[in-house]
Amino acid sequence: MNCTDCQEKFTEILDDDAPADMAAAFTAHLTSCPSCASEFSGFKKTVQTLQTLAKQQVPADFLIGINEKLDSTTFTKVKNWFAFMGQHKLTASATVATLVIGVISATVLQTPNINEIQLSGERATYTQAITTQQEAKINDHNYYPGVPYLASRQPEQKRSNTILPGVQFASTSTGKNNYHYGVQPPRGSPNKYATTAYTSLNLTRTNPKPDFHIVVHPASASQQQKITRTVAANSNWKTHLHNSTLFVTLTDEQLPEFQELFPPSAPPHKRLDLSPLTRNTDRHLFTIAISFK
Amino acid sequence: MELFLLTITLAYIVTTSFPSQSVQESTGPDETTLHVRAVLGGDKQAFNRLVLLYQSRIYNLAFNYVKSEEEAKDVAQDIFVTAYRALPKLRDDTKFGAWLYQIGINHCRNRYKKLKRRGYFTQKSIDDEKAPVHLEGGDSPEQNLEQKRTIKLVRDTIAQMNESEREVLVLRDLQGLPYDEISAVLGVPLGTVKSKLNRARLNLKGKLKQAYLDL
Repeated sequence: MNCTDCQEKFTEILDDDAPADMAAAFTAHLTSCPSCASEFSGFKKTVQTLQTLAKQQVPADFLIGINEKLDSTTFTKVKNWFAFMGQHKLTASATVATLVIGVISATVLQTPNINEIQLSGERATYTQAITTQQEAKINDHNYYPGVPYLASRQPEQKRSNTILPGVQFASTSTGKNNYHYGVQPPRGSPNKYATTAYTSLNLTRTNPKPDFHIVVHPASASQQQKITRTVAANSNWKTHLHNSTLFVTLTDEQLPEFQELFPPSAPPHKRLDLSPLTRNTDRHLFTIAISFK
Repeated sequence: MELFLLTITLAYIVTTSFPSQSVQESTGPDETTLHVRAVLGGDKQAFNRLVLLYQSRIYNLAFNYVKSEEEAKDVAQDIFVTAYRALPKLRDDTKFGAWLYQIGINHCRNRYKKLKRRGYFTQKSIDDEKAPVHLEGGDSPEQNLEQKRTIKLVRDTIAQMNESEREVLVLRDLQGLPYDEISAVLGVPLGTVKSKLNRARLNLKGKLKQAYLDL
């Protein structure tokens, strides 16, 4: 075996993949050739360095970003289509398409009574969901009929507990339905952050108003990652992502488990208490929003 | 000095998990296959669990191509989005890992070419010293600094290699993939994978030696 042959076998020898006779010839050559012995030693160190190289840390909002990309798929497709058309000078087609979309949008937006039609449909869906849920709760704790549509677009109704006739929002005994994690709100303006947070939630019909809102203030990446991972990994909770806010729907029995995600972060900070949500109500299904500031 | 640097780095790294071992332990084929079947059955949460299993490897794969946290995050997310959409086309649900790597390699190659055309890497090398490096695990600031220097040196050297050698090296030594999986991902025979890997390792060793790393 010469030096070139010897160096071609380095990986095979290192993997214990070489036949016995070849391994013997390799060892014999290494004993008689200090240059190849030194090369092989350096080769082993290189491989060891590579295989033990520390990995780059994954960003905390990685999973959230994927879900956002998946949610914006349709919009992106339309955007890309228009970009493609523009590049190929097919402006006429693009203009026609824009006009068609504009006409359709205008027709839909100006249709009277559409809100009433949708609201009555939603009310029926909600009532049915609650009834089915109560029946299913007896047999199966993991039953989730989906998030009922409880939100309205009217801004003044956001402050009210009653969104639809006959449907009462759960709230804590103090009337607050928000919680700040990671930092205490400044004195004298306890609702300052809550107001901002609610506005930024951008509630829509497909994105219901939560029963409770948790605002996670600037925390470490690992803390955020832990919360996101635990929520995503729990198959018993129904989750939905909207505008970087996680909506978690869970039953009253799962609330204590959820609370454990938010241990008291600092001495003056209060423990998250969701138990008042379940008082004086027949509801068993709650939606909680988690925002990362 | 360089020997001291390497010793500290290796001492730190030995305490962290070995890449090829963590592949075996964290993602047994059964767990992955179960999640894949759940996703195909309509459980979107199962896809989130698949992401959690593979995110570190795919993100690091992308990082080795684009050498930027922001770009790596974007490419890695695109890889998962593509995988989610194309999942119904996966023929053998027990081979999700290799299939995901195939998508990953294609995405990374395309992004690398695109960025190279725009002169991204030329511009980036100017700002490289200021670029933050966030590693898994934690250690003392001194050890972290030495470790980051070694990592930067190794990564820069790998980046100078030709594409085929670099890919084999990354998949085998940095990602810990078995030979048969690398062969399937790159679409080259097993023997070619092994010979390319040997050449790539020798090449890297020579370049690191030139860069005064004690090898």
